[in-house]
Amino acid sequence: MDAGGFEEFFRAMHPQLVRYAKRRLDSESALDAAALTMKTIWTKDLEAPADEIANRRLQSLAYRILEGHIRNTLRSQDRLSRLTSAVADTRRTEPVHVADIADLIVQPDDVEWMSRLSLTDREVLALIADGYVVAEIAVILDCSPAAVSMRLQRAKRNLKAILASWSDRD
Amino acid sequence: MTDDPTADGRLEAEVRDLLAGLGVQPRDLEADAAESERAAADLARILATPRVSDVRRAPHEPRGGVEPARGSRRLRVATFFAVAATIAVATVVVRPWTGSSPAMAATPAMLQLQGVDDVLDGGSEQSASAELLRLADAAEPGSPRGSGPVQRILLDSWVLTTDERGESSPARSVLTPVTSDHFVLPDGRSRVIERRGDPLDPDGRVVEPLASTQGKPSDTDETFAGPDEGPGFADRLSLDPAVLRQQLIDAPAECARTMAACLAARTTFLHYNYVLRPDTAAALWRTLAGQPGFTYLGRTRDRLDRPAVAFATPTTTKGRRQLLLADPATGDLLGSEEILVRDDADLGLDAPAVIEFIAVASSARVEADAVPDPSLSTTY
Repeated sequence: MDAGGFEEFFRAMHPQLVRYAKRRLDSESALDAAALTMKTIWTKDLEAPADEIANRRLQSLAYRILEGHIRNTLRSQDRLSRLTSAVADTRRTEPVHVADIADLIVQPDDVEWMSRLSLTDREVLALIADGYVVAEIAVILDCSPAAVSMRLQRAKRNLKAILASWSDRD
Repeated sequence: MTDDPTADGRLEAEVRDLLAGLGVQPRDLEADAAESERAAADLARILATPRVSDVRRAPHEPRGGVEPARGSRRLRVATFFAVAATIAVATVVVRPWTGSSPAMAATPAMLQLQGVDDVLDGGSEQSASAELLRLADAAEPGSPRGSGPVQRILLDSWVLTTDERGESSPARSVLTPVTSDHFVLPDGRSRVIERRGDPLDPDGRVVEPLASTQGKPSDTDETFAGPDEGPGFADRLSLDPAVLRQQLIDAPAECARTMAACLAARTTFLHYNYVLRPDTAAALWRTLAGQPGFTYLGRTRDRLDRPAVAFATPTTTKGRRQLLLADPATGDLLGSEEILVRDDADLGLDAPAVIEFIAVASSARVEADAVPDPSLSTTY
């Protein structure tokens, strides 16, 4: 991708990356993560997308790289927080949520209704809650819009089942 | 998206209402003017950055100007050859590390689960057995991988090196990317050619696929006497899961409390050191399917960006989990990862952290002329 092509991609993609990163980072850190992501894509020297499918693939790659930067930032912030709280001998009681495979192999915190949903359900619900639409989520998750629709249907069904079990219990 | 373009919109609205009823409010993600200014500055800075293709690091140049650590008491290396110790005593070049390069201190990002239609809810032991059997069914009809006399296994990996700096200083660990070209020769000897230090993506995936390292200078090229079992060991294993299990676990007492971990280790050992026949690979999956202790995590993409299903097992070391990654379409084992799930002061790492991964880039029988010039290799 030449400089002109990259600049065009940057102008279209950068605001979306910042918006996505701000879901879990403060504004400054989100800008840092987005900049690192775009720098990674630049240094990779990828081919310019020739069509819409290739462009969508490149956008999905950008989100995946961004996820890595976000998680590294959160991990770093979490360590810093734990270091500072150690002075008072109090560990952080609300660990930063990092949505990745570790969630399934590290004992999850048992918190409210969210913890009873699968990781895939939580992921799609969180994106919808933040105002993303199905087509955008498909790019972020690198899958088809139809797959997102199905996941969303299932997440809604599972969420309703949890709420129904609560009302039965009450 | 459904056929009805408004259906997705209705579904989105319905879910948002449901979430709002639970007190979930959208976060403020709107851009402000300061972001635009910063974006322009970032763009200019990025465009001034040389690309990987513009500047190639000299093969043996230390990264980030790292100098040898003077205060190191000793260095401990954990590599995938730990499990391959019965084949060869691999000499690993250890570069002492002083921690002056922040990039080297980071561990790879965790793999993310993929959102696909048929992904199962993670964390199910019951689904692990079904998924492992599905892998066996996928692997069994596969074609033999080549017909040459030499078995060649290409591995991409990160290996952990820990620098224990002394009583008063915390340990520091670094993960070094290694590509390994392993030839099992017809006479039973093993030749291992290692290349170290290729950069990794910030998302934890390999920037340069293994194929691109061919022809680059190797850090080590060594030939070892092979195991007594010979190069055909894997082909002689039983296809009956019950018998195969006994063959894999030759000392059951040692594995009594960690049978799943032992079976997983034996399985990866075989894949990393032999080119397995499809029926042998299938029998291995069936053996694992019959063993409690595996957890199916869901779908993901591996470090080489291939579609994968992931399973977790305990390891023989407390506070760690092993991931097995397999191709759901072919039943191929794609690799494994070891993940720290509790902070480990000895390693100087906080959990969760990926402390090792191995990815099988390829595994096939090749002709003898595919083996590089023997005079380049140090023979033991």
